[in-house]
Amino acid sequence: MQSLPWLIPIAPLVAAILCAILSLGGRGKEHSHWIAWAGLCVSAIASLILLGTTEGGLNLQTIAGYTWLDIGAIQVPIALRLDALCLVQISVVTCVSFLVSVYSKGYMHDDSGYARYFAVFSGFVFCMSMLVLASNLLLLYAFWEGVGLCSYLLIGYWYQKPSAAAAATKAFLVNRVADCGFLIGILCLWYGVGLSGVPVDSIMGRLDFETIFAAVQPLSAEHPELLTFIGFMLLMGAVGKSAQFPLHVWLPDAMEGPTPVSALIHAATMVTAGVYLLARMSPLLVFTPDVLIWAGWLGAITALLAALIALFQDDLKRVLAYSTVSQLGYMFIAIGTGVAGDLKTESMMVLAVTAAMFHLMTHAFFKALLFLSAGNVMHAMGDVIDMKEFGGLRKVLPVTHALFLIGAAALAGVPPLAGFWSKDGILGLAASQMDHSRYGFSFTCWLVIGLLTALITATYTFRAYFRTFTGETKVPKEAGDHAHEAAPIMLGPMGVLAIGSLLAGLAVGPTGLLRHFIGEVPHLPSELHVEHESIWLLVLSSCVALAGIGVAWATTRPGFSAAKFGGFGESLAQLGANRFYIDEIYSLLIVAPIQLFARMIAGWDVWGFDGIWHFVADVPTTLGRVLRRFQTGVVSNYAIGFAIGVVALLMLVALRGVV
Amino acid sequence: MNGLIPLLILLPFVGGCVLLFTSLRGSEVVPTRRAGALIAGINFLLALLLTVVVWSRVSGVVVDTATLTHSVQATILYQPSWMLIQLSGGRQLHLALGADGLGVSMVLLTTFVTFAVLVSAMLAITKRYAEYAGWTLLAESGLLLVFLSMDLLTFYIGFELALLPLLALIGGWGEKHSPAAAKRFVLYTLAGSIPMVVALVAIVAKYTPTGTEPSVLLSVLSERAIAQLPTETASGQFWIFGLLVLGLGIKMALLPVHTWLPTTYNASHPTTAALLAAVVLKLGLFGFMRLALPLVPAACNEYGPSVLGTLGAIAVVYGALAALAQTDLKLLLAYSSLSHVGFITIGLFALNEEGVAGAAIQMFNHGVTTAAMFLLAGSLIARRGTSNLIKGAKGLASLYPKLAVLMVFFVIAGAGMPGLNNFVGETMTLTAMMNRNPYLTATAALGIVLGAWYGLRLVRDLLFGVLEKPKSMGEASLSGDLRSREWIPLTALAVVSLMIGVVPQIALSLVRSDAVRLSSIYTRIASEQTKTEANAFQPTSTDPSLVAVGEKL
Repeated sequence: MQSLPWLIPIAPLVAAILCAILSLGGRGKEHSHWIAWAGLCVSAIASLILLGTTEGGLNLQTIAGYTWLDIGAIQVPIALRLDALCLVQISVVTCVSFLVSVYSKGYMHDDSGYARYFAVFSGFVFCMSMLVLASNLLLLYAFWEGVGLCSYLLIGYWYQKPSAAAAATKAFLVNRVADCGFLIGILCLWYGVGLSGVPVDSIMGRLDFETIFAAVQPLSAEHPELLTFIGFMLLMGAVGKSAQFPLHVWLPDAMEGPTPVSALIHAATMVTAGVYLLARMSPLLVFTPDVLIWAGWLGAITALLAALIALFQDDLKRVLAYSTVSQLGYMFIAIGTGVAGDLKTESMMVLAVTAAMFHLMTHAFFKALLFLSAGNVMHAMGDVIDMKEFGGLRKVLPVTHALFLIGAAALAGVPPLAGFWSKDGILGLAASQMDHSRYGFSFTCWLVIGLLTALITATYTFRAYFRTFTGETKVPKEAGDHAHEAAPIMLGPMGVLAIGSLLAGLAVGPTGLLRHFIGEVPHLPSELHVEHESIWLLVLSSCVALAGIGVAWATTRPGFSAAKFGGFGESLAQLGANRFYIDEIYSLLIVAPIQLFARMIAGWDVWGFDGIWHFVADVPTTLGRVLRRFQTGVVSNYAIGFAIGVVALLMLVALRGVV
Repeated sequence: MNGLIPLLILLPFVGGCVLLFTSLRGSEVVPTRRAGALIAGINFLLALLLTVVVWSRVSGVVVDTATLTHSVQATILYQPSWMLIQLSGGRQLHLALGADGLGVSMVLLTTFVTFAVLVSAMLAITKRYAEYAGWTLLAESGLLLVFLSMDLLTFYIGFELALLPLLALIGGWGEKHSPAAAKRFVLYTLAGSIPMVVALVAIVAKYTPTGTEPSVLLSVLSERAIAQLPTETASGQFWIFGLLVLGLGIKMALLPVHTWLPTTYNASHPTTAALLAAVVLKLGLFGFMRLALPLVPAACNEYGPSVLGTLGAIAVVYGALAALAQTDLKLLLAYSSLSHVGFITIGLFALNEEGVAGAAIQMFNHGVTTAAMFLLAGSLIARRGTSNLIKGAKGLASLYPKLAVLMVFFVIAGAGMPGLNNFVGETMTLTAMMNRNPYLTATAALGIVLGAWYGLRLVRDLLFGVLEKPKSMGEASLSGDLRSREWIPLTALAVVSLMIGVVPQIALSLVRSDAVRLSSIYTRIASEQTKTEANAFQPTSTDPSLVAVGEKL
């Protein structure tokens, strides 16, 4: 049993290495999916076994690997940590990865970089599972960067496309900005744990999660502002990876990658790493309410903003991408609700983490399903994804239509599908604390924004559905005559995801299964006092979902235009279609000034510094003349100068005793 | 085993001289073409052997810092009778060679990079290869002398000796304007040599108390430096330290005396630039590690973190920003070196165990990645005819897949990707500086964003995108993907990069005990300071950096 957890990351790693070798070699590339499948399947089975056997109270286990770094005050062991939180996340990651890899065989067939695709794909699963299982914050950071690299390589998979190359670069750099903050946070935490005086076990480093959580309380008593700063830096990292406002701009562009990649990395797994980080660090965040409030508000702003943008996009994948951003916003709201806890006495934080992880899980199912459906559409339409170009595909793609409908209903929050329960869990948390003495206003706002976003979500999801699948059949010319339903190898995994989207919410939500499970996580208080599910909210959010679908139906009917809502509607549509001009604002206010500054530095280096030295060398003419003799570049002159130096040194040493 | 040390230095020296002599006679025959790379290869194997021997002796050794008397100690000492020089008046001057963990890691880097450079130069250098190899081997010999010296005089001789052949390499094989750049390089170097000599003489004078023999041996000097520590003041050592900063600072391209670096690298042939950036740039840093840190500790403690640490952190950001604005590949790499050296500087002048070890590791790491980048640049220039990023062909990944994979690898390594070598050193240096000055760490951390920015922009502009014919084509000497003489050395460098990234502890155990030895002086100074402060008055609030240092005692 000790080696079983190691199987989860190692199997995909081996697969990645083998596929990489295949991609370099000449033959056998077309079989690389078997290697990847085998690796990911082993990984998925191992994590499900662990999930199944951990039910009975086991809550923490650390499985050692080897010591990565050990010097002075820095110790970084490579070890895995198993607790309920990890197990929930790792099961989602490995299962969805396996399903998407099966789908990928059909989607990517005949591509020239087939083996490269599976190599990076498996590499991603390795990095992601190490990120989830890391027992140490620096190790988590290392694989946090690792998944970023895989994401970069997969977004830029079709590197000949300039748009893909640009999107990959942008994704990596935006993430790097956040990671810079994250790294500073980690270093400060390392410093802080040193200050706190918590004895550091020589095997475990200062950045081991156990050590950190032990140090949090003394640290918050002595240096609360340092702890708050650390919290904000961690939040910055999470905001970047999970594409929250103001660093959300990379995710929609990331849709340049192959669609299975969008489904796996940019919807189901990697982008949820930020939420996972906050959940993982929640024992620390309990002590930094300012950070939690910010997390909640950033989530709320992102949820609403991204939903508004999604409403006005024509590109089906971009609708889904903004929807992902928006749904991640919900998870941030969920984490933010932990602020209402009264430090360790109340269990608000564990409820917050549960709600976030629950939505993370259901979202992984239905969003992966939606993306893969979009992939089928794209496949059939000859890589056209603009909803203006096609329509009425119900008859062309009947199975995909049904699957998309399930995913859309789950996303829109139609009861009793997965999204309904998990979204209601978050809204319920917000509603339960509206009378909180200090944060009541924030909670009320989050509830209102959450409900409004739910309405918009239902609207844009079903607008996409109606525009794509209903009405008169319209197929773009790129599709040719062979617009056909996807292959069974692609539909099979989608069926599994559809079952998850239908049932996961019902199975886990109302039964309180996940809550009890996550309640086992050490350092999170486990007594549950707050009963947050209320009937009025369930009814209200059902009505909101149905109303959204109604709006979608009304607005996709022929002859409808935004102008009917008057000037406001039109300008909102304008703003939404242009993504609120956020990209433009960034390039104008951040990128361009930095580039200008860089040019100034480069110019200053040549004309400024170097000019000064030229000046220094030229002004004292007498010295200049002497120096010019050395400037001849003749080696012998130089050698003489050097010899004089040696002789002077020798003589001074020798004469020292004489004088 | 001690005989390995002179052999390592003499083999390239003799080999280089022979090659130069044969090439002077004008016959460029096949055996001499292979000889250069062969000698470098043998020397690399010798260095590997020496490293393994040193590693086996130092790894796992626990240094007792309380009873420590030397801050520099050779693991393998070579001090034969002929190195005892009789001076007038019956005086004797001991010279010594020796290998310790810090030195031997640089020896390994030097021989490795020289080997890689000479193998790829067989393709890249199209005229007078034997002569090129000869000068390169001579330079290697001088560099090895520095890294293996155990006294001030040998150090200085190697320091200056290495530059003569480099001058020939820069001026003889570079761009059209390279002779001018070589002259500039000399002028700068000369400006550094004079303060350097004065500083060395002053060090000897300082540590010759009346009634004792003057010595240039590092072991003796460092022992006396520790013994005199309680009576030393920072201001008393200020001038020596200042002169060393002038002398060594120019070699390591310390801001603002770095301006020779971009022009020299740009003018040199890419293979020469690989050697310059990978090894020669480290001479100054190594000098600080060998001379300044053990011999003028009071001044280092006072001015090191504040002045040089700040300059290092600024260099990280400054170099990266300047790299971002470049449109020429070689200039971009030159400024990126400036930025990376900043990380090493902040690690070194954090003056603690993690920092010194991190700086030593990072000196090696940067050598590996930057040598690879310059070699790749050479391959690219040989195919595109220009190092300009805008004018040359674009979208090369589909044309040269091997080159693309290797370039992406080393760009990612340079950007500090975990699992590859640079991340290890950068994390260690940043963490080390945290205890001294968190603001410097935060400033330098910006470098990881900017580093990724210029690196990925390079990848996007050169490799990704639609394949485009160059707008103005220079002469291309090669076509097709990387040849075996290009990709084999690069793959070897990549393997080393990956190995250090995945199991850094191997590399760390080589430098650890020496880093502990070196940093223990500063731990003592810090504890002395806390003691004096505690005695003088009851402190209301203690400086957190002191607490952290004190806590490690």
